[in-house]
Amino acid sequence: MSDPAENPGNASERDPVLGVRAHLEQALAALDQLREILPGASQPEHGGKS
Amino acid sequence: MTTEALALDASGALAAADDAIRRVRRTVEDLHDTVTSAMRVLYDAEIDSAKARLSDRGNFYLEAAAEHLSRLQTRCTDMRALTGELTDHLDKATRVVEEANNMTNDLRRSTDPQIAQEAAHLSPRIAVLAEMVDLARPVADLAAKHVAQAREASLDVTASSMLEPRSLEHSIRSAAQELGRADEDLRLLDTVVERAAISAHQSAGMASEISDTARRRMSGERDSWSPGGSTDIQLPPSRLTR
Repeated sequence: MSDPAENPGNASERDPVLGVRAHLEQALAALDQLREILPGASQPEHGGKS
Repeated sequence: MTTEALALDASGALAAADDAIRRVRRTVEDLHDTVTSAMRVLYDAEIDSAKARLSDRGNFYLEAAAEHLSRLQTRCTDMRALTGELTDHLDKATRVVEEANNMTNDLRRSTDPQIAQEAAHLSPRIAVLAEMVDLARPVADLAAKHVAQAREASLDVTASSMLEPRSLEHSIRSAAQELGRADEDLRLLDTVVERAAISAHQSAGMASEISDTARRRMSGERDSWSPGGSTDIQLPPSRLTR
């Protein structure tokens, strides 16, 4: 059986719960990647113009 | 505009770019928390739907599952709003990084060596921010796509649909995993209790041994004492007095 997280579309066809979970897992994986790309959020902001 | 004012503006633009990227990062954290919460809520719904099928209190657990699914919809709505914010912040970061880059390029053409030096100092920092934004964009789009698809799929999930055999099988598997974890915790607790019991037994044995030794020594001293002799009993050093 293939991993639903690798193919959320198929998972969704089989079972909506599996589909939701698989897409949420993929979203989390992408967000983890963003955490690596972008600097930490805890650093203070500049007072510059926004 | 004087070159000095332009230099000041370029520094300000760089600070604004920094801030815009921090806002992107904070939104990433908020979105991460919300997606994690959605997964937890979905899991709770699975567990309660499995209980609804297996327990005598089916209706109670079915209602509980429906409540979890209602929370899942709320999380999905929050996630959609947050992916919108993520895109907006990323758009703004792109704009301000580009502005900072343009200003710095203007400064580099300055004939004032101090200004040109300032521009040379700012350029690599702006290049790093520009690269961050470039790398983040497709990944943020991917996250937004999966969030949208999760939301779409969630619309087909109801407490009743979770009672269907294929969903139920998955729910029971999830429940079994949870029970497995609980069982593992219990086994760990058993081991801890067992070790504590062994340790207590060893301590009790040691205390008994010490006590016996002390009693033997006391008894030996009493036997050697005579009414006409010295009353100063000199006890040998024992483990108890250490």
